Amino acid sequence: MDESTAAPEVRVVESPAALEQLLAEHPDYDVQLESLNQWQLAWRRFKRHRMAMVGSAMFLTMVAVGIFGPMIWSYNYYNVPLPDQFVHAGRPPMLSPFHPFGETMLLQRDVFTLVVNGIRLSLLIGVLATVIATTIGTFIGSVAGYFGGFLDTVLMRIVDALLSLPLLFLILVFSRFLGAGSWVTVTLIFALFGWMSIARLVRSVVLSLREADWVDAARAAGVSDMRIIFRHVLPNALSPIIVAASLSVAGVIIGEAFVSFLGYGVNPSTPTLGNILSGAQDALTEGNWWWAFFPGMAIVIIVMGINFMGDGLQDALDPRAKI
Amino acid sequence: MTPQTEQALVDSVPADSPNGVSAGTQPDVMLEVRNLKTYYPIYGGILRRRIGSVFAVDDVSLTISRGERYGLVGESGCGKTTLGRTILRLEKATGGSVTLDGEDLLAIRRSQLHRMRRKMQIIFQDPYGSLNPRMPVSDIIGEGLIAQADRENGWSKRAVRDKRVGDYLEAVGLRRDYSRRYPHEFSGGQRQRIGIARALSLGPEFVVCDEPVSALDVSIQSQILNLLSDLRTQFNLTYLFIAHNLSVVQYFCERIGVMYLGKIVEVAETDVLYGNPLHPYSVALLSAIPIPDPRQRKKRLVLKGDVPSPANPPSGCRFHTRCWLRERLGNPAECSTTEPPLRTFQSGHQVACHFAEQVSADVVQETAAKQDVIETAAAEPD
Amino acid sequence: MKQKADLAVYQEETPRVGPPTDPDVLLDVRNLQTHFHVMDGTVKAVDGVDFSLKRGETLGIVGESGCGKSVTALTIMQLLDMPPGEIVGGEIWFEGRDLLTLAPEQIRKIRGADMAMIFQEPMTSLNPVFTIGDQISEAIILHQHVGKKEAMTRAIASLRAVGINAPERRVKQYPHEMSGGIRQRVMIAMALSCNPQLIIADEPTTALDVTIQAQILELIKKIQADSGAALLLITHDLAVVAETVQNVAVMYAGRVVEAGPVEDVLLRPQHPYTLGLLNSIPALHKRGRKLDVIKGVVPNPFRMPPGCKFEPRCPYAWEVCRRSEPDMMDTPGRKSRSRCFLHAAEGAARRYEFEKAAVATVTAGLPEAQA
Repeated sequence: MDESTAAPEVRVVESPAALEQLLAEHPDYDVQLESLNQWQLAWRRFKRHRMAMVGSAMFLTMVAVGIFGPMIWSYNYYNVPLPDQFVHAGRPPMLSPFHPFGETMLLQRDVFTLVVNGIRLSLLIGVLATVIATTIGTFIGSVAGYFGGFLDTVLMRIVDALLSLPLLFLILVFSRFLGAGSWVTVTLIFALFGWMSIARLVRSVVLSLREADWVDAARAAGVSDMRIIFRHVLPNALSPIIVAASLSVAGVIIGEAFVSFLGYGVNPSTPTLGNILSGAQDALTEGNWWWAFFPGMAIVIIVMGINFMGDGLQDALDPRAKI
Repeated sequence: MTPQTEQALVDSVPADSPNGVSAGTQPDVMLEVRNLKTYYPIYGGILRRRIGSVFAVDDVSLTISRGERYGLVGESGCGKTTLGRTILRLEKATGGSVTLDGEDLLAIRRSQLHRMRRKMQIIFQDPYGSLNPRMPVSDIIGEGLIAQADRENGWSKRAVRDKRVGDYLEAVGLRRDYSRRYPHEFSGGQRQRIGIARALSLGPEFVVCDEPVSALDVSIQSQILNLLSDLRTQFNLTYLFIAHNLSVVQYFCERIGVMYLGKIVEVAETDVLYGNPLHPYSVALLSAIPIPDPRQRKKRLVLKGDVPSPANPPSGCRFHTRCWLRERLGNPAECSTTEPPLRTFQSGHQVACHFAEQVSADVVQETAAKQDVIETAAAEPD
Repeated sequence: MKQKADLAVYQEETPRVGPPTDPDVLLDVRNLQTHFHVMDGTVKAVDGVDFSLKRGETLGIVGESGCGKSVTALTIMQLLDMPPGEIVGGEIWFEGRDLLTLAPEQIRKIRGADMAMIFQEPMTSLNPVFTIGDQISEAIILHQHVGKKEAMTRAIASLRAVGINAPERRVKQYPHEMSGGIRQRVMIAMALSCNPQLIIADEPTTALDVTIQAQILELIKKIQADSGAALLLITHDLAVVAETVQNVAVMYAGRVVEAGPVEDVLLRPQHPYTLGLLNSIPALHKRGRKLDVIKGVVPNPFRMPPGCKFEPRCPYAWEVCRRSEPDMMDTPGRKSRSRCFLHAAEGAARRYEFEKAAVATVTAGLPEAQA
C-alpha cells in the first residue's frame, strides 16, 4: 500500500446533515460512525448536560476567584482599622465601594477580602486532600483488586477497620495532638482518612476489569503486572474515580468548614471558609448577618457546583450511555 | 463409512504417544502436554475453607506437531478453553507438564517464561472484549512489543515499533493508518483482525485460537478463517484451534481432539473422526451438527440431559450418565466403575471408551430411529 | 421512496387492502417499516418487509446481525421500545385483524394467548424472583380464565409435554436452579401453555451447546407438528433453517432479498447474497481450499447505497444495480422469489454466470451427504 505513510484523515462531523453532505462529496469515503476517542465522546455528552455546564460554571468561577482574588485583595492579619473609623457592629455591605460585602464586627475586617481568601484556602484543602486520598485509594484499591487473594483480604480488612472509626472524632483528636493550626495538617488528616471509599470503589472496578480478555492478552505478551494495572486497567477505571473524586472535594470542604467551625481545624487566624463562619457566630446576634452570609454562600455555590458537575460527569463518562 | 469390524485394535500403547512412537524424540513436535490438570478450588462455609474442586482439566495429554492445526472441540464447560489457557500459563496448572518447543513451560523460571511468551500467543473469542477500549490500536499492538523489547529487536524505539505495528496491520488486511484509531471505531471483523495482528506481532510459532470466529457473522467468519489459513503459511504457525462449532473445525483442522468434562475422549485425523467416530459422545456431537442442506434432513442421535457439573463429575466413565451406547448394551457395570483409558486404534485414532468396538454406523442409525426426542431431558441431574 | 425509474414493472402492483382473502393465511406482513431514531439520525432497521405465513406452516427468517430479523419479530409482537423505535408504515394482519391498528389492551390479549414468543436467552426472559410454576400459570390464568389450581395443573402438563421429568417438583423451582437447556424448555412450555396459533422463536438455540441445540430443535419441530401452530423461526444459521422449516425468507439490510420454499432457496439460490452465504459456510469438503467470502461489510445504516443494498458487495452487480433498487421478482419454474436484477430482462445476459456458480456450490457438498 502506497498511502501507508500518509496521516489518517479524520474529520469530526457535527451533525447528521453535515455527514450526509460529506458523504455526497466523497462517496468512497471510509466513514466511521464516530471518529472521536472516549474522552472526546464524553466531552460531547458533558456539553449537552445543562446542569453540568451550570455546575461547572459555578465551580470554575469560584476557582478563578480563589486563584486571582487574593492577588488583588490580599489578606493581612495586622491590617487593623484606625480608631476614628470604629463602628462596633461593622458596616453593612454596599455602603462603601471598598467593602462590597461589608465589614466584620469588632475588628472591621473587609468581608469580601475574607471570603476571597477563604475560598482559596478551602478549595486548596479540598483539592489537595482529595488528590492525596484518591492517589492512596486508587493504588491500594487497584492492587487489592488486581492481585486478589491474601493481599486483597488484608487490605480490605484495613479499609473496613478504618471506615468503622468515627472520622469526625478522630479528626478532632488528631488536631488536638498534632497541634491545630496549620492548614497542611488538616489537609493531611482529611487525606489519610478519606481514601478508603475510593479504594473500595477502585477495587470493585478493577476486580471486574481484570477478567477482560485484553488483560489476558497483555499477560500473554509478558507485560508486567504493575504496567497492566497502571497503564492498561486504570485508564478504564478513571471514569468512576473522577466522579468520586469530584464529589469528595465537596465533602472535604464541608468537613473542613465543620471542623474549623467547632474550633478544631485550621488556626483561627488563617481564613478558611469554616474559620470565617466560626468567627461570625457571635456577630449574628448583633445584627451583622453579612459576615456569615457571604462565606456561607461561597460554600453552597462551591458544593452545589461540584455536585452538579459530578452528576454530569457520571452521565458523560458512563460507557453505557447513549451517544 | 467403513464397517467397524475391519478396525484393528492396537493394544496397550502409552496414551501420550499418538503415533505409537515415543513423542519426545520426534524433532517436529511443537507442543507436548502430559497429564495436565487444572483444578479450581471451591471455597465455602463461614471460614471460607476449601470444600471442593472444579476439575476443569483433568489429566489431559496431547501432542501437536509443528505446523499442525489441532482442533479441540467440546461443549461449554468441558475445559477446552481452560486447557488452552493453562498451556499458555494464563491459568495455574495443578499438575502435569507442558513442553513447548523443548522447554517445559511449567518448570522454567519467570525470566525464561517471559521470553517464551514471544513464541506462544492467543487469539480471543470476543472481538469486543479483547481490545482495551481506552487504547489506540498502536498501543494495543505496541504494548506487547514494549514488554518483549530487547537490544536485538529494538522494539523499545518508537519508530521501529510503529513500523512493525503497521506491517502487521497490513498482514491482517487492515490499513497502516488505522493504528491511531480506537477499538470502538471498528466492526467486529476488523477488531478480530486487530487481535490477530497483536498476537502475531511478537512473532509466535504456536498460537492458541480460542473460538476465534464464534462471535462473528457467517460472511465475516469465512474472511477470518481464510486469513488464519494464509497467516499460517506466511508465518509457519502451529494452531491449537478451540471451538464448539464442529463445521468450522472440520473445515479448518487436520486433527481433532474431542473433550468432555475435562478429559479428552477421542483424538483422530479430521476425516477419520468425521467418517468413523468411535466414542459415543463424538458420535452424538457429530450427529447434532445441523447441515445447511434440506436434502440431508436426518434422524439425529440426540443426547439426553445436560453436561454434569465439573465440580462433581460422574464416577467411572464421565460420559456414562448420558451415554446411549451404555443404555443399548444394558448398562454394563464397567462404565460407572472404571475410568476408560485412552486406547489407540488404527493410525493414531485414540478413543477412551470401554466399548468403542461396538460403535458403528448401523448401531447409530438404529439408536437414532428408536429414540423419543421429547424425553431427552429425562436424564437431567437435580 | 423506492425508485422505479426506467425499468419494466415485473409484477402488477396490486395494493392489497383489507385482510388477506385466503382464510388459510394466519399472518400477513405487508411493507413493514420499523425505524429507530438515534442521536446520529434514523436507522431503517426494517424497511419494507413482506411475507405471509399460513396456518400450521413454518417460516424461517435468516440473516446476519443487523439485518432487521429480530426487529421484525419484535414489531410483530409489539414488544418494541418506542422511542427510539417507531413503526413508520405497513400492516400486520393476524387472524383477520391488523395488529398495528389495535389498542394496547387488545394486543396484550393476543400476545401470549394467540401468539407466543421464545427468546434467545432464557435466563433473562424468565423472572428470577418467581418460581417457573408461578410464571407459567400466571399466563394461563390471564388468558384462559381458570383458577389457580387448574392453572398449575395445566402448567405441570405443559412442562411434561416438553420432556421435563418430575414437573410437579420443577414448578416449585426458580430459573437459576436450572440449566440453559431446561430453561429453554420452560420457555417453550410457557409459549405453548395457551395453545397459540403462532409461535415466534427468536434465535432459540443460539445460546445453547450443539447437543442441547439438537434437543431443542427436535423438540420445537415435534411440538409444532403436534400442536398445529405456525412457527416463525428467526435465526442467523442457514443450517438450522434447513433442518427446521418449510419456507424461508433471507433478509439483508432491512429487507427480504429472497423468499420461498427452503429447498428452492438453499439448493437453487437466486440472490447473490444467499449464494454468498452458502459459499462462506465452512464444511469438510471445502478443507484445504479457501472459503469463498462475501467481500466487504454490511453497509452503514446511515449511508445505504442508493440502488440495491447488496450492490457494493455483489460480484455480479452492474450499473443498473447502482442506480435503482430491484423489487421482488419471480423466476419461471421456481416457487421462490428474489430481489435481484439478474432475474429481470436486463440481467438475462449475466444470469448464466450466476447459475453456474450456484449449481457448483450446491453440488459440491453432495459426496459427503451420507456422512
